[in-house]
Amino acid sequence: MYTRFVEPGRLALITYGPCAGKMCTVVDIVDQKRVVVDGPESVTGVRRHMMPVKRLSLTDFTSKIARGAREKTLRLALEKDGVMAKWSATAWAKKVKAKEVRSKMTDFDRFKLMVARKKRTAEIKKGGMKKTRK
Amino acid sequence: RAPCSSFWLKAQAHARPSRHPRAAPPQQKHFVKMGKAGQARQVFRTYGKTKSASKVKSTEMKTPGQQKLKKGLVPGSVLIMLAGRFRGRRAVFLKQLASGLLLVTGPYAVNGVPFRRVNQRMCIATSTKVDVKGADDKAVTDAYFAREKKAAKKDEMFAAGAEKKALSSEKKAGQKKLDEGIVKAMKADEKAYLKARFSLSSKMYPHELKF
Repeated sequence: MYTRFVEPGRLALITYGPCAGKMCTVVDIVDQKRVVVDGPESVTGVRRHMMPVKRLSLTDFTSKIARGAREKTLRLALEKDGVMAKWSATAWAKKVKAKEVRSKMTDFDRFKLMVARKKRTAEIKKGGMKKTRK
Repeated sequence: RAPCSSFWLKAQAHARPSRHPRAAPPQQKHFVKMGKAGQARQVFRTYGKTKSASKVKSTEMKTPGQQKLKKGLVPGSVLIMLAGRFRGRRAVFLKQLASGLLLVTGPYAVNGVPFRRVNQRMCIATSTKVDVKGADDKAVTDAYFAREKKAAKKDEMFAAGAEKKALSSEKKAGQKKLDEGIVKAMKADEKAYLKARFSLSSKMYPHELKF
């Protein structure tokens, strides 16, 4: 059944708009379609503002805050529950990060990557390395 | 307040007013009395000596000035040549010549690209930079690339095909000397990078790539 609810404290990824790609926490609910969201700014760079729920991708993680909690309370709650660390450990977060890294690669980086991949397949063909997907 | 820190930066980038000397000056709004429609938009014809203030000063139109270098182009930048004999090769940018063209070298020992003049528009400037402090490129100018003037004789034109004059040994030595300074300072992976060719493969979209 449903497990990822829109509730104060829910960690979410912003998928659209000027803050696309950043993490935020739902802080309060306005109506069926909108929520108030906060980074907090010191942690993720997202200021407190109202946003349609449609722009969010909810995650599995929540932190224990009361509705409308202020930035400091939010920040401390996130630290206490280690939410950002738990998020970074998930496969989803790693994929997001990998995509970001790939988009920032320069031509030289792409060349070095190509060389590394060639080296890797050469080693695999030799039988020296197990074909584990990294 | 903006939702996040990058919001205002993006807004500013789009809102910058044009400072081009020939851009139209901001339109002045005329509040016109009723019944005189079209007056605000009338352009009054100037005959002869009446010159309007918005006319560009003749001094601004004289010399175009040195062609601006692309943003981020610095001596030592690696360029990807897009056209000409060496298309797809990566070469090191040395300096901008008086003609506005870029002086580029392979270096020759690394990838076979000699001193060459390249138009900025025909290359991609990557963000990778190589150390060129050890290279003294003052000797190479536009005159270096000038064609040798042969004594014009009509019959020579129709005679045996043009002899291709090989590059003079001094030029070759000069190239070698300059390149040595650059090659010495280069790391192994930079050398391999310059040797490799650039090409697009599937799912590589140039407008999305970061160079």
